[in-house]
Order: sequence, then structure tokens, then C-alpha cells
Amino acid sequence: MRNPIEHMPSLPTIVSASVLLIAVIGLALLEPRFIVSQNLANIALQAAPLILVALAQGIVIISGGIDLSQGAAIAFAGIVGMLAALASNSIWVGWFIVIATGVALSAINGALVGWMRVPAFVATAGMLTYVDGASFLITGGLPIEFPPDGYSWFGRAFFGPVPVAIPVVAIISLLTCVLMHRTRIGRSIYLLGDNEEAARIVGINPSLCRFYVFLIAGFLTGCASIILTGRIDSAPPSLSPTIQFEAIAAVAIGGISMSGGHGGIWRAIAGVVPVAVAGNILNLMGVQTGAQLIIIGGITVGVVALQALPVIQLKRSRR
Amino acid sequence: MKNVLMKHSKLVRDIGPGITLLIILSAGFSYFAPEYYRQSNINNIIRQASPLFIASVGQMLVVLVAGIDISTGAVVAFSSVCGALAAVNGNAAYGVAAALLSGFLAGGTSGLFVTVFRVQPVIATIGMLSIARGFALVLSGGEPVDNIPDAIKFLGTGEIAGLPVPFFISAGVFALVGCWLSYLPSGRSLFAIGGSDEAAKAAGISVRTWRTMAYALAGALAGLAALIYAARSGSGQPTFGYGLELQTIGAVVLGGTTLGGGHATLIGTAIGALIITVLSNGMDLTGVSPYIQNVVLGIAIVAIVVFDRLRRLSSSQHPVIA
Repeated sequence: MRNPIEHMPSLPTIVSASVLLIAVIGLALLEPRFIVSQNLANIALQAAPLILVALAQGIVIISGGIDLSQGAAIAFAGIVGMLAALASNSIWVGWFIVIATGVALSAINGALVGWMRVPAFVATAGMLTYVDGASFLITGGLPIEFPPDGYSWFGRAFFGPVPVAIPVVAIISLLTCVLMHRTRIGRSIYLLGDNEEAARIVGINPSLCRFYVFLIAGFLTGCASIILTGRIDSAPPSLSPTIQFEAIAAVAIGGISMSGGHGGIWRAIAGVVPVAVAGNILNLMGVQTGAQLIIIGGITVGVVALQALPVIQLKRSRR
Repeated sequence: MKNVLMKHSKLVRDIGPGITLLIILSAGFSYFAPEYYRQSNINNIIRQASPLFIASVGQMLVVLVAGIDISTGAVVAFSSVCGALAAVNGNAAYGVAAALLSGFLAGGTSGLFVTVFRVQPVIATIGMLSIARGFALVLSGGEPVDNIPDAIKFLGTGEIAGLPVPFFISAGVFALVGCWLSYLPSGRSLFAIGGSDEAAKAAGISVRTWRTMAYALAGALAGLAALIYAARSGSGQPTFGYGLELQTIGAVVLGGTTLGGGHATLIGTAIGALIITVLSNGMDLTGVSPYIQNVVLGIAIVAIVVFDRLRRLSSSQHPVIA
């Protein structure tokens, strides 16, 4: 497992890091609004939930799967949680229900992928469809609004100049890194993604392990939902429909292997930075959603294509 | 003789559940909605099923070579916008050519990423999903592209001898793809590629070329489906095809095609597309809200794949590919 290559920054990481650096310097010169501290806080607030979603996506991808349902699950969990908070008039109940809903939805995916052996893209694309339908059904297409006081704390409050979401996400990220790299379940997930047969031989139950993967991912997307709904102080049925694509792009840019089993989970966080910065810059420049989608898709495929090159060489030398 | 029987029993196993489901659904809906069997509704079902069938054939080709195409819906949106723009600014022939060509290029690009750059099919087509949807939005400015010529509208709304034109387009696709897969060496080679890359390579098949071609043809078929969608609604729209990829996967699996490659049934795909259309048509007739329809369709398609997995696990005739 202690493969030196895992700890070396890969070619795509270096490329994306240098592109990012050049872009930031160039844009700071072109667009002075970019380095205003208010905008930097803004980027951090945008990046915070995306980091959680990218961590979730990263864990699923490391295990050899993919999760296309994140955007729909986040919107649904946000709606159910805010309704619960309104009904009980307790922010704690609301927050708990958001996370519980996130975990429960993801558990459905986990059960389908783990025990029923449904391909992850089918299970999660199905969830994308029915959960999206359910969100619109519950809300009638309109956002749920006016949560109890304090409900939006994670998305709106500041410690001085620092948004509350930043330290919260930092702590969760740290725990996730420890989970993935220092615990038995984390290392099992890596082994499962790398070689299922080997995992089975050393006594890992692949079905149960896949189920755990989705439970962890569901917890992380639930947390992201609290921050995202908090940021806008409401829960619309189309909260962040394309966040899973941004998360996949971040995972790819960070250098986690798309075929599973390789790449430290911290790479997902590293990958979010260029995605969030690029998104912010494009917004400042007034670039439309369409062009942003093209860039996100292009980056994902391009980076993975770049990634494939050294992997091919490795495989050949092993033979 | 025994061989013929074996062949047919295999076909029955592949499409038997699909036909049964189709009969049950039709019986149910005709009970709850008497207008189900009216000629006008039958024609309506054909019009709705045709583009889904055509796109599903593309999905089937990709699944056959051990791939998957998540970008079907986005490519439909992209091709409908390209086709409509070409038709409005040029003429109907340009429109048809642009829709098919844009789909072919989008699919071919995914295919090249899969074959040349070794990107996983899911990731390559997810990237294409974003790119194609993005281009559809940019090219159309986010608005439907209206005023397409009548010659293109005819492809979706016209009738020949009492049957809707999309029926004839589907029949053409069925015949061409069926003959290609059954009788031409290149078509047969898709089965070999899906079964085993190594074996296909050893048999002298150009794996890269034909795998890329499967993706490109899937794109072109999505473009053809886009023409029918655009013709029916009178415009090319950047919002076409949300969730279509899931429906095509559902149709393909319902038809008895194995996710994982090497095995496919064209007639089954047709039945699969028909079932999914009947399901949404029946829900339309019985007045189910579109939101509930989404919930039902999503759950139904996942259930279909679960059922298919269980069936194959119990007979354990195919290795499971996650």
C-alpha cells in the first residue's frame, strides 16, 4: 500500500496547480475585484460545501463506483430537513434530519450497489431521477423558506472575517482523511477499489464495504446540504443540480484514479480549489452557465486523459 | 433442430419478461383509461416510443462493446439545437445533416477518449454530458430555436398510409442496425469486442476502430432521435433529454441486453423502449403529475436493473461486472 507514486504529485496535479497559479495572477491583474477580501471569503464559502461533496465523490470513486445523485440528494435532504425544522421549531432536529436523510438516501444506493450488484451509475442515476421528482412533488416547485432563527448558521455566520463553514469543513475533512488513511475501513475501501478479488481473499466483505462507502458519502453530502441551504437561507428543489459534475471534476483534477483504489483522499480537496476559483472567475467575468458546463466537462475528460498516460506506462512495466 | 430450439429459448429468456410486462401494463392502463386503445393514442405511443427506441439502439451498441453512454440526453439537446439552427439558417437538408453529424462527432469524441486515452466510459461520457449540454445552451442562448421548416416537422408529425413517420424511421433503423449486427463482419465484431478485448484483438479485429465507431453511431442515433423530438415540438431545445440516458439504459436492460458487454438483443430493445413509453403514456392518460411520473420512472428503471441482476445471478450464466 505504501506506494511512493501515491505520494508524488502526479502530472495532472502539477499541470492544474500551475494553470491555477497563472490564472490567479493573470486575473488579479485583469479583474481587481478578484482579490478583494470579500470575494476571497465568497470563494471560500462556495468551496466549503463543494469540498464535502468532492470528498464524498472521492470516496465512492476510490471504492470503484460513481455517484451521480449528489445534487438531487442534497436538494431533497435540504427540503426535508428545513420542513422538519419548521414543524418542530428546533434547529437541531432540522440539522439532524438533513444528515439522516442524506445518509438514508445514500444507503439505498449503497444497498443496490453492494448487495444487488447494480452498476453504480444506474443506481445513482435512478436516484437522481426519482429524488428530483420527489423534491418537486413535496415543494410544488417553490423553495421552502423562513427556517427558524439560527438554522442557517453554518452557511451565513462569520468568525470575524472567516465564514463559520471554513473551520467546520476543515475539521470534517481532517476526520475524513484520518478515516480513509488510518483506519481499517478506509484501507479496506482502497483495497476494494484496487482489487475486489484480493479484498475478498483477505476477508473483506465487498458488499458491506460498498454499503459503508455510501453511508460515509451520504453523511458528507448531508453536511454539504446544511451549508448550502444555510447560505441562501432557503431550500429550493433545484439547489445545486450540477454539483456532482463539479465534484467529479475536482476528484479528477486532484489526481485520484478514476478506476478506483489509488490516490489520497486529500487530493479531492486539492482539486476543489481550481474548480471553485475557476467558477468564481467565470462568474465575475459574467460567463454563462453553458460555457461553465463546457469548461467543467472539458477539464474532467482532459485531466483524466492526461492521468491515463503514466498509468499505462506503469502497467506495462509491471508486466 | 436442437440448435434452432436453443436459439429460440435464449431469445424467449431475453425478451420474455419484457413482453409479459408490456401485456400487463397495457391491460392495466386500458382498464383505467379506456382511451388507451384508441387509434390516436396508439399513434401517439408510436410517436413517443420512436425517438426513445432510436436513442436506445445507440445505447445498446455502446453497452454491447462493454461501455456505457451517460451523455445520450445531453447529445440529444445538442443535436436538436445544431439541427434546428442549420435548418432555420439553411434548409431542411442542412438541418438533418447537422443533427446527425453533431451527434456523430459528440459520440465519436467520447469514443476516442475511451479508446485512445483510456478514459473510463462513465467518466468520458459524463464529461461529454456537461460539454454537450453546455454547447446546447451556448449555441441556443438558452432559448428554444423556433421556426424549423415544415419538411423537418414532417419527420415527427407527418403520416404515411395512416402510420406516423417516426414509425418508418424506427423501422429503418431497426432493419439497418439488425442487418449490420447479424450479417456484416464489422457488426459481428462488436459482439467479439464486448466479450473480450484480447480475443477480439487476437481474431484480427480492429478493436479501437469499432469501439470508437459504436460510440460515434450512438451519437448519430441520438442526433436522429433529436430530429424527431425537435420535429414534434417544432423547435430545437437545449432542455431536451433530461434523464433520457437512464430511460435508454432501462430500455436496453429490459430488452435482455447485458450491462458489461458481449450480448445484445435488438428486438428486446424495441420492446424495452415500448414498455417505458407505455408506462409514461399511461400515466399521462390517467392524469398522474409529471413529478410523480419522474419518481415512478426512476424507481421502475432501477427495479428493472435489480431484477435483471437477480435473474442473472441466480442462473449465474454471466460474470457480474460492477
